[in-house]
Amino acid sequence: MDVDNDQKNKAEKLDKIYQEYSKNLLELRKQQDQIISNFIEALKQESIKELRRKFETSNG
Amino acid sequence: MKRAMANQDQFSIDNSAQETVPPQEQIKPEISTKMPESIESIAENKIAEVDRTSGEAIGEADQRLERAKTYYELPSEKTEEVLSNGGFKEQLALITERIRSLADSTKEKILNLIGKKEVTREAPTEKSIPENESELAKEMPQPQKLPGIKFSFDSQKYRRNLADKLREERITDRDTAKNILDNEKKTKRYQISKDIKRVSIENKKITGENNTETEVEIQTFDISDKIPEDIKLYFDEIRLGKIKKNFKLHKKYESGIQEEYQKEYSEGFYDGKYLRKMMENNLKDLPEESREKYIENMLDRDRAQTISAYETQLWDKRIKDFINEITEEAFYNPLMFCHAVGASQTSAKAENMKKLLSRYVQEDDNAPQEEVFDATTATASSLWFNAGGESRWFNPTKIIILCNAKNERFQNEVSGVGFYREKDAEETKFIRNKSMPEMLKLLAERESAIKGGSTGGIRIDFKKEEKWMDIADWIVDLYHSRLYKIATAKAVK
Repeated sequence: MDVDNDQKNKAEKLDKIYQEYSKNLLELRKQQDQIISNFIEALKQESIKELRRKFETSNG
Repeated sequence: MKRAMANQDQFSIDNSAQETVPPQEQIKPEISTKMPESIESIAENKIAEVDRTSGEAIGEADQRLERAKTYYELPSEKTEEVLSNGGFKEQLALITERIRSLADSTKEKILNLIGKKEVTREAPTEKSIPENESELAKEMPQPQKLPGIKFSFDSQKYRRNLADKLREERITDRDTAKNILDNEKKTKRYQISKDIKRVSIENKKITGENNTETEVEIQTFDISDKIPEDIKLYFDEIRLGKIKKNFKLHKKYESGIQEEYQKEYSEGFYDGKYLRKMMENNLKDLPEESREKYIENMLDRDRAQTISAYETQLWDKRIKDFINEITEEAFYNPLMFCHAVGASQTSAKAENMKKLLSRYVQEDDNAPQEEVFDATTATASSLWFNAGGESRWFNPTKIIILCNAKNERFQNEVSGVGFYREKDAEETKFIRNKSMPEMLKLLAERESAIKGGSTGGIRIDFKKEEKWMDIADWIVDLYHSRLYKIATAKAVK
């Protein structure tokens, strides 16, 4: 019985460790998303600048 | 592979760009209908899941970054410029490292739970290093390593054995078991095992002046898991100060500091009124427009300096608080003399920035080489204590030595003591041939010197070249993730 209980406790602990890992990994993936989102936004701004420059050149 | 379906945690990247964001999976193991046979097989499955999910997270982010480059039809050099100026690659690299650390520590926890040995991260393979970096690595001097420290005290094993012992006792006699545990809880080993993963304990005899012998117990703690991420990051910033301009990641971690600063700022921490008034008075002959421009310019510079100084103050406090915490509050004990010795601020080059993430040279051969101080063998014939006023003095690259003024081991070796005073800076006064209590009394009169004021500092000369270990109570070596506690066991003679 004791052996069974010990196994059960360990299995529960393993689950907890994994849940904690999943939670942290999800958080880090959100941060990855944010970085890529920021990169895209920076590209967008640069692209707008480029277009404006082209427009001004063609009208100037 | 079967993916999780639509998920609330999915993030929109940018409305204007058609990025297909992979759904943020709830990272779950593949569900099997068959019950695993043993706890070992469950553990193995979990470890495999950790490897799979962490690998996916890293790989997908890299792919998405590559895809994102094509969204706007910018010339490739422009795209690379945006990428480089924003430090996006480096930011992702930091997250990658954190994911790897998370995976490693999770696997270690799993293995510890089932009583197997720890996980060590595989060294990067040759293939994983791009050619140019590999060449660079060849040119780089190899980092020195600290002499290996054998961890003679396995806290996991200790606690497991204790649990087994109690389990046996409980069957026959609960009171006995309770007594064993109550007694055990009072022991040092139990206390250590509670919160420090690995520690070595060594007993040593020290022969001091006049052949006095003292037995000390040196406890060496591995605190690599204890150092908070922001302190590690601050460490990197200091250590690689020369490339700070390119390293923008710390901003994210300084957000708390910025908030604190903003609060102080809004409450009048810096208003520039005095400076403005002074300048208006001094520059009243200038035409109004140019005077105003000049004043604004000066105020901007002053404001930037104020912010920087304030941030430094906050960081100093953060580091001091942390050191105080791990030294059982010895750091803020006024009886503790504190000396900070520098690991030099490195000669790391900008190209080494990619290796930023390898913070601890003893763990990664690819880390930039830095001067290594070995706290276990270092000696000194005199030390400056409690010297304040130096910018970023208590940064994590310094080894901190704490000596208890009342410790006989320390007192016996002091030959002279002096203090620095701003008023008579031309001469540091030394008091010799007095007993340590008399010296302490004199020093106590200089409150700023004792407490590490802005200009204070105490120089203590020793009778001979002393090992730090022989005179100190604590040595904090964050650089190598080591903490040494030197406790006097008993005076032998």
